[in-house]
Amino acid sequence: MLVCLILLMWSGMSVPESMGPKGPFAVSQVATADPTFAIETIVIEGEKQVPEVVILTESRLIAGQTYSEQQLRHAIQRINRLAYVMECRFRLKRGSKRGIYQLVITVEETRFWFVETTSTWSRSSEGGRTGNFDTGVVGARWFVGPADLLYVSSESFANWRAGEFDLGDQLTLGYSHFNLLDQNIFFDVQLGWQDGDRSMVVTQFGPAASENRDSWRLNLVAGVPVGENHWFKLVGRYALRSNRLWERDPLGEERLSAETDVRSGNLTFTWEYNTTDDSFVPRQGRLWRVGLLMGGSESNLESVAPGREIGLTDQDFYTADVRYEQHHPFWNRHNLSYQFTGEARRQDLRATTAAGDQPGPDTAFGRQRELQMNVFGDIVYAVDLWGNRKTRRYGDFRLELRQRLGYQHENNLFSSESGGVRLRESDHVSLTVIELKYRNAWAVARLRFEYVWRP
Amino acid sequence: MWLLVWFALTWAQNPAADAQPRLDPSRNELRLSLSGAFLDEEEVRGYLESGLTTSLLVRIQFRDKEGRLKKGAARVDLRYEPWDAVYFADVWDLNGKRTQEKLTDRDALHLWWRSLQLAVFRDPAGVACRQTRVSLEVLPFSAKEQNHARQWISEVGSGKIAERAGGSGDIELVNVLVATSMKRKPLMRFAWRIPCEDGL
Repeated sequence: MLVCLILLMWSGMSVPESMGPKGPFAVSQVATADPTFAIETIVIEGEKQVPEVVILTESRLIAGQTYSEQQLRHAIQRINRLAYVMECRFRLKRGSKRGIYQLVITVEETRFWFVETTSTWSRSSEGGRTGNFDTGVVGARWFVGPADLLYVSSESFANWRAGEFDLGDQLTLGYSHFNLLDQNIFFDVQLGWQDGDRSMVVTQFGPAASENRDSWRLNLVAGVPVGENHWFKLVGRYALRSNRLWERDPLGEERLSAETDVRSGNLTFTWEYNTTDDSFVPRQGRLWRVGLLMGGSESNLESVAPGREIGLTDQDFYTADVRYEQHHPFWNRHNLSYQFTGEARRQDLRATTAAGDQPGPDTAFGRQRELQMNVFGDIVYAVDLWGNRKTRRYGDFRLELRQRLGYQHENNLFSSESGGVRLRESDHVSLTVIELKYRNAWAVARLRFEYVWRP
Repeated sequence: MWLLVWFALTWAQNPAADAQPRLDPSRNELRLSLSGAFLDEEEVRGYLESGLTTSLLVRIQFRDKEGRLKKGAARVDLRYEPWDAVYFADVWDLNGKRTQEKLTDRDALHLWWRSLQLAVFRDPAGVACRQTRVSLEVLPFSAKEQNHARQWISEVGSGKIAERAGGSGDIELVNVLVATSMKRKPLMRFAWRIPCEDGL
């Protein structure tokens, strides 16, 4: 798989329109049909908090090199995709010698604090799969060095799904560096803590059971640019989760039923080719992403009542996924995009359960091997309802209609000392989403209604 | 309800409507002259003088006397050269050839734009219309699309497209002018609704 990934990277790098800077410093011909520009210096204007290094790193332009117009356009799009920049423009001025230019990059920044809200109403042709999901994030970021960013955010969520109610808060503290080893390498470390309460099977007398969970997670990201519009990303995640399950007895009193500790970690390798003009409301360009995930988890369940029981599970999983997006503006404010997502996952789970603290004659062993494949194709129509065409100072407001067709296949093999069972399940799924998206210099809001059709 | 109001407000938006294009009949062609007032708009000026190529896509749409929808298009690529303070203009219209101009300053650009007659629609059987919708989109440059357009236009000039289509290459040319400009997000858009002149 890794070989395939490298081959894909190589083939992507050979796309002619995305070649890197051309050769040594040279004076351009001013009146050619496809002009190139020798950039002597790069000047950045309009920046308030975002350091110049961050803009320059993302532009991947180097003073002293010659660039075509297409390469400069792609640099504009890369800067525009930064969360800290609302808009970026390039202007060429005369340099010190004839035929040599000074590139002026003008940026308009977003605010240092941000708010994000998402509300989703989900309904399904199978009544039991309905739900409402709401999240709200408040955060702030500070550039604390020439290429160093510190950020903090607080997230609250409230999810309701068919008799379950899940409430929680999450705190995240992160640090990013944009130019590691002076090689334009992006590095990010993120520490998060989550506290959540889940009430299950809510009746008129209250929840029949509830779960309280705490979790810590650590994420590490390294992004290496490997071409003009290509990235290679390595993401590592490690999480510790502790769950406590409470049950309500007939007298209405809650008592601790089980405790679980889970340790999990995974490593993701991703190659990405991205020429979209915006990460939130893209109107043009394409995205290719190929990823490989390897991970594992261990959990330790201790049941308190009615009899003491322990359960140990050990799980390995591998996921390969590919994603393709193509965006077309087709008329004035109207946009059409096609998206394809494919994912294959293999999971091996080993479980041991025993009464008492130590394995004994009643200890049971079980294995499960799950193979899962999902393929989705999406067509998305979007109309920009509002947004200043001249400058994005006042934000973007978009209505999106998405129709997804998909196929899901699952192959499960359960085995234990007494034998094995194989279960296969295939399903066609269709999803309709209506979404309103809004963004300005400090806020992002999404309002989404989705309907899942299952045959 | 507020969504409908929003829709109505956004759809009605039509900047710089002070400029009115003129239609001139000539040899069964619709030739379009546009006022250069939009060139003085601060935002357009900013793009034009950036030193990077900016495309102006002119599109025309009308119904003939039988009610059939007709479409036409032309494109002008403009680039300001900071060292000589001149503008380079490439015109792509229905004549199937690319004409290039060098304009010595801003006044020359205005003068040239006012005198420019873009052949946007042609019908050997005659052109007849009542009301015309004209739009002008300011687009960022795309080398890939420009090469595509250049190739198509050279094929139109050599008659290959017309042979393949079994007739005039005009429709294909309009399609390629529009299609090769479509993949780019317009920076700005102007639109007018004008009556056709007598004799068309």
